Amino acid sequence: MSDQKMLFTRREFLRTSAIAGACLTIPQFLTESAAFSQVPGAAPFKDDRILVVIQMGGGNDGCNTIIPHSNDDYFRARPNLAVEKNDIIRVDDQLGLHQNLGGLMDLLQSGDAAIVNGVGYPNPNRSHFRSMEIMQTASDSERFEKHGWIGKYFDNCCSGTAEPVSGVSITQELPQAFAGNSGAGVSFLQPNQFRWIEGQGGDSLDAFGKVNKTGHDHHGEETIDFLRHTTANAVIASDSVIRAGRTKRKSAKYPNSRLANSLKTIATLIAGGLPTRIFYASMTGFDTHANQVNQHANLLRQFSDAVSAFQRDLDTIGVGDRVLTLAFSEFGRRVEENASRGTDHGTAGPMFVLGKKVNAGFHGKYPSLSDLNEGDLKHTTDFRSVYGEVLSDWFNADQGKVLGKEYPKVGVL
Amino acid sequence: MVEFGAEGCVNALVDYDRFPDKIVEPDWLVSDPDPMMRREMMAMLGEDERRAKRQEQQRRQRQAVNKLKPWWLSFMRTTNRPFQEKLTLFWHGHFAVAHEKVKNSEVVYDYYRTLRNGANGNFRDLVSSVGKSPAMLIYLDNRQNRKGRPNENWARELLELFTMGIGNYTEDEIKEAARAFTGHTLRKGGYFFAKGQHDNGAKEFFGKRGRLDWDDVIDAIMDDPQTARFISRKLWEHFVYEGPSDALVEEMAAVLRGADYELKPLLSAMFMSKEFYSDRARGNQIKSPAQFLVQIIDQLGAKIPREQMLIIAMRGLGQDLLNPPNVKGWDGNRDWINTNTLLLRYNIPAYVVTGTRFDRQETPRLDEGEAGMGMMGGANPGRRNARPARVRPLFDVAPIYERHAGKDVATAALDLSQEFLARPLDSDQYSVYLAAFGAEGNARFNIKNVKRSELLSALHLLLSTAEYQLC
Repeated sequence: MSDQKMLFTRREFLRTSAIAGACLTIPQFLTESAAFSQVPGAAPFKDDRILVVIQMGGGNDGCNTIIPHSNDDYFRARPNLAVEKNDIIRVDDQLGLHQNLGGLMDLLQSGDAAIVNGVGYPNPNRSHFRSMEIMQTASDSERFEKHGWIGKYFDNCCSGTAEPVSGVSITQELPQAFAGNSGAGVSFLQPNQFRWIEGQGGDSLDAFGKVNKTGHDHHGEETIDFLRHTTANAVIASDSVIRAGRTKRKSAKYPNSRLANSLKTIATLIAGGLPTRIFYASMTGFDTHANQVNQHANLLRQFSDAVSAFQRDLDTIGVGDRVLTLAFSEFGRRVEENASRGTDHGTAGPMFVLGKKVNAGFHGKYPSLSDLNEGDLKHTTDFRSVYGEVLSDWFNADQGKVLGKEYPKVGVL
Repeated sequence: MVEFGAEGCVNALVDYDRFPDKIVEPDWLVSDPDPMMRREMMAMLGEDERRAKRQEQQRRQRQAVNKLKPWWLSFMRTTNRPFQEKLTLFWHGHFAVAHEKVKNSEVVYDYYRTLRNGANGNFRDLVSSVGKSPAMLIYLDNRQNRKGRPNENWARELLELFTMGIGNYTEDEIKEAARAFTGHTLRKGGYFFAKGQHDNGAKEFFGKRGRLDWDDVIDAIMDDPQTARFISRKLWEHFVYEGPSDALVEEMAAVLRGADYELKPLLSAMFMSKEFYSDRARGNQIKSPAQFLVQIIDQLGAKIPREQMLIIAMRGLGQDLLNPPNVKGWDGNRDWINTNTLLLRYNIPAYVVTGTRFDRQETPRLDEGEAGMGMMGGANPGRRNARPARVRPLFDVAPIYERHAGKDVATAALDLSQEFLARPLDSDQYSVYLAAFGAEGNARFNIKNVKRSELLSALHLLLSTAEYQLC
């Protein structure tokens, strides 16, 4: 391209383009490496342990989930919302479960459920958005971090190289928890949606692969190399997700809820051998500001029934001892009920760690219902202690590299 | 606009104020009631009704902001001052404010107008007007910054993210700046200086001493050469390329300081510089989601998609307008790309070109106009591998035949690829693309004999490339 022409095109870019407009073409063909890359076949991790993270969005009311049935403060604070003493599923002489948590109770009794009480963090933030961000980035309340704790794990700790499907989220968008440098983490609601939609003519999947050179290595530093490398990864990931999603197996019984559907998909992908290290599923609706009794009871039933069906399914597949499930919410709710028979945003709440390898039962101190901070529970366990234990004891990872420091053990594993 | 030469062209771009502003103000924004009136009104209600009222109001606000996002995207496409919107989007990412916290569509729109009005004006003025905008007073909490009870949020981010960059000031300077900003707050939904809440004591900031106030701190920040460097570098990296040399940054910063922070001379200098026309500056940056989406619609001359579709696309691509993830805004360039966002970028062309939906791929429903489609729900988990759902295409292929009339397929294909791509396909890629025209073995075939479906396939393929992500 002559200087004259280039100047013209560049000016044309300025004049017409701004946001909407044509970009330039460069009249030189790319040189490229002809070496075909091999799809890495070896498992990228030393062992084959899997973590499933469940997000209970909206702020779960911990006091009505794990109930201090012998504490009068509970019944005093909640004249309309307290669960009837006789309905509470008693676990010990202090604590019990909401009556809809029968499935969870079974898991407790079979030694497959650990419940950490009073989980939170210093200087709690009561915004859903911000608190969720804190939980997902494992940051201090005052610090903004771009990368998520799962992303940081993939970046720093996993033996071998993380690939895109090392992290899988059954959500529309990839949660911030996966943000990191390694590029691990894909998201979809249905496995067969995670693909390039081919056309019926010369725009076939095959042509797409060829025009994007997905069969080549792209190790160059240029932006185009980066894009092609990511494209090749996407094609490989899509292929393995779709194939694993098609795995035929005796269908397990799951209730009908979003969480149950997501967990069923995850079980299918595990059965299909997708080399995923961390799965993510999400349920929402816990923001029960008004008339919460039935809403909250339904949500707890969905949660409990889904995780217990999942655990049974994993056993059927024969992977029960390879999978650990961690369920969290961005905050708990105010101790005292509000005037709309609901509860407002609060602080600490329970976290659930489920699986064959857990130390079943309660962990962490149940927060006092009388020694409050502006009406809210004072947390007794930092959520990063639970993350830290999962990282070091489940994944054999150096939690300091992910969380910035070592947190005290909780003893769930 | 009749002006010749690069200079005239650049001036016309940067000095867009000389063209009429065709903005049509949205008339569907939602006001929050005056706090006094609201308190009176609420006092007459029971707790249940109060709560219901609050939730209803928040829902209406959310809805209005969700209308504002596609409204802005559409305006980027239709405005006759595209560079103004491009700059405004840059400032939105720079002075990030998120509706998630502000929760008021009028306040968010007012913030957009503040950025837009000052986009090519004076940087010093822009910093002050953004800082005093209700949106920023809410977002970074300066409305709660009072004498004796300082809130440092705005002061800290002003120094760290908006003007100087981390490492160029001390913690003490943040504290002193925060004191100077006390009392600059909100009243009745607008900026208000509450004298009683202002800390009028002596302060020291960057060597300046005295009873420093808002303007004194802003002036001291502008007096520091680091500020001009910081903002020049950021503009350069956004519009030209990443990692400019220190010498180049110094050169641009000198222009900005020489013009007392007027932005037009800096922007002109950037776009007139040799570097802007260098190889390094071209075809090497990744389009932002807004640019990608607006550009594909514009290049194809397609209709603007439905609001919901734009919202879903932008969220999926990682740029939820008016709602950046945090105060750092969007990092841009390679951070736009991961396996998910790239796959979505590759699936959007099918939607624009052939009407194939990217948001829900089961349950074929051909012949149904867009209006009839439920958006989020309805995915049928039981059905596998059903053909993707379709809507009526947004794009008419006829003008492409007209534009390339008389050409043979090979020429038309090459011209089309140059129209759309910032970087050419190599010969291997080109032959795959050419094959999609269905004229294999006879590239001398006249373009008018290429079937419509084949031209669509070829376009679909052309736009589903890594090359198309570049600008």
